Amino acid sequence: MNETMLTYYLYLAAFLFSSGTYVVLTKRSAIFVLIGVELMLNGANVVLAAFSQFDAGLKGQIFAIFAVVLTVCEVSIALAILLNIYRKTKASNLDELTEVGNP
Amino acid sequence: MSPIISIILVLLAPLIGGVLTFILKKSAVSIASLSIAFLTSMLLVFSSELVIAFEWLPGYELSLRIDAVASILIALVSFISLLVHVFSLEYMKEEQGKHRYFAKLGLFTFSMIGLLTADHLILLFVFWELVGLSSYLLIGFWYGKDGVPASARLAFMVNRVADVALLAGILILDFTGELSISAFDKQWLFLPSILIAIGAFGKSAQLPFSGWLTKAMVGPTPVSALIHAATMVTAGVYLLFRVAPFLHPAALMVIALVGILTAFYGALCALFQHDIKKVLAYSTISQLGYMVMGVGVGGADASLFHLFTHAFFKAGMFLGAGAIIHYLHQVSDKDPQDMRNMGGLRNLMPWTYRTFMMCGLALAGIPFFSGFMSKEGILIAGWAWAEQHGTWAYLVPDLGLITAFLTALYVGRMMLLVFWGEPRIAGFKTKFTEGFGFRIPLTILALGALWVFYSWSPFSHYSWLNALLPQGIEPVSDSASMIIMFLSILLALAGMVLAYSFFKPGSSYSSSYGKYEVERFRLALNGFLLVRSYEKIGSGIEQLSQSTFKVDQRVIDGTIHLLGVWTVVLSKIISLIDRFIVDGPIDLFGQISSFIGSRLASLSSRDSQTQLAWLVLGVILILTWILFL
Repeated sequence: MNETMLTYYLYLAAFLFSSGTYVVLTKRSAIFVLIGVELMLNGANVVLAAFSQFDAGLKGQIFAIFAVVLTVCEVSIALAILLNIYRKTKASNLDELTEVGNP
Repeated sequence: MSPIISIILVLLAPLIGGVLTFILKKSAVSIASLSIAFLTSMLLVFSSELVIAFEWLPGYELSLRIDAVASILIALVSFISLLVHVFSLEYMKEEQGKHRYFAKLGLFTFSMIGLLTADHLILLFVFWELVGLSSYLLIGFWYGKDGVPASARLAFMVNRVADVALLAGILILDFTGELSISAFDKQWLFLPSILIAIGAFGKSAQLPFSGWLTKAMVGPTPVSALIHAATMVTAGVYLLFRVAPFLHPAALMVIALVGILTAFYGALCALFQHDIKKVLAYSTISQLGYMVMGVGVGGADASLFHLFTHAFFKAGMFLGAGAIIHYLHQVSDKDPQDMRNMGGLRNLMPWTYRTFMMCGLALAGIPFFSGFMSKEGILIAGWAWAEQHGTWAYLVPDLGLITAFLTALYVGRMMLLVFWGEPRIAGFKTKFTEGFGFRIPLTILALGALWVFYSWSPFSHYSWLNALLPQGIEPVSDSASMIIMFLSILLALAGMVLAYSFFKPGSSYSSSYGKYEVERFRLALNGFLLVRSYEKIGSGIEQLSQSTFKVDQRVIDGTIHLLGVWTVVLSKIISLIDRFIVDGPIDLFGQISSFIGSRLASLSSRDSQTQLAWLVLGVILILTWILFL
């Protein structure tokens, strides 16, 4: 894999990150924002994996696998929280969730 | 007995008795309490000196001290108070508020005994004021009657004027030294001496304070006997007696002159009165003048002796007058105190007549009666003093002798007009039944007017009383005192004879006295306008206050008002400067900041995603800066 291929990988990562950012900034629903955050994380993972091609120890790829595992945990916990919030307040819109604790 | 118990018994018993009488509505309680006080005081006479001291403030050791003089006078006060209580039982029998009366008498007796026990001048002043207060309360006992409250107020206020001087004197002494009578050791300056003398003049009704005593006669007659003849008015003499060794010589001279002038003034006024109580009141003023003069000329113990004898015979005369007034009140509706309505009472009230006669002879200074002996002592002391002070000083003993003559004259006039001749108004038929409540006090007081209770010799002016005094003089019997004695006997007898020839039954004065008009001798009748002068002084002070009030209103208030207006104008100007010159720039800065702030505030919003967008933009800007610039 040469440097030209790397450029394409980086374009892909930039695209993923930008679209994730776009989703986070524009969508009102908390679920979409969570998806946007996932996209941004995956963009970063792609960058890690791509750059680790030039590293004999493949530390970047190992770190990316860690990140994926952590993301899975994070997403499951975040979804559970969101579901609970929805159950309590019947709201999933981020701007409506202004209070912490028992409403 | 321990000192505390004695003091409580003698001092507080009258007060407690009075209060209990008021609460329980039993007059006998106060009689019992006074008997206790009297018996205790008799024990104190024969026991040694008694002192109780307690610290009031740091450096002010208030002390009660009963020495020989105090114990004798306490015995006198409680004894006469007891007799007056007994007399009052019958005199006030019909009275509605008689328990209030006995409570006030108890308060008075307590205050007077307190005054006699007080050794510290501040304590003495407290009791001094209490005595004045209880006197005021008793004068105003019949407060519903016309003129009584005004008279009580006048007596109270005149006393207050003198008490201010006393208080000032005490304060000056406080700056210069001790305040305990027993601790005095050096002579005082003139100012405190004269101030304390003025205080004593007020209580003892000396000129120019004499006016209140005649006004005080509107109170019940037993009260006049106790307070305004026998005890309270002698408080001034007692104070002078206590401080006499420390008074400045010039102050002593003033005291002697005031005393003798008062004695003369009182005797002169007494000669022209128609009200029997006023005769006695002026006579009291006159006798108090003798006592004060006695202190002034260095015969303080003679004054104390006269105080003692005078208390007996004057209380007897007042109680006798009370009996007469009581009787006239029952049989007629005319003024019961006016001698023009009396006459011929000799056969109607024989007991009163005899006792009144004895007391009157003592007052007139006839030998074999107590008044003669004590007055002798004062006149002889006056003579000895005059010998040392030059020719003009003979004015004092000479006026004293003239007063003795006038005294015999007015006593004779009073007794002849009241008891002799025929009754001047109809209705004097029923004989007056003098109950034991009247007879016992009158008899005891009349016996007290005899010489034998003071000395075996009727011509001695030195009694057993004087032997008890610490600074007692030894009896003098030189030719001068013999002359004085001879002169005063002669003058007293001459006064009596003159009185008889003028006022005897059937004389032109006596037969027309019932229709006597007050137009003649009005100056003397009104006490030489002394009370009127108080009113003039009062209205003068009022006018002065009015004019100072006007000055205050016009000048001082005007100035302050102008100052206020100018302050307001100045503040308005400063406020304008403040608003436009100082506030302007500050407001401008404020508005600029507020404008910038509101613009900046509109950038942020509640929306978290907008904030995030700005954050992203900021990060991009920073990255751009780092990477490309």
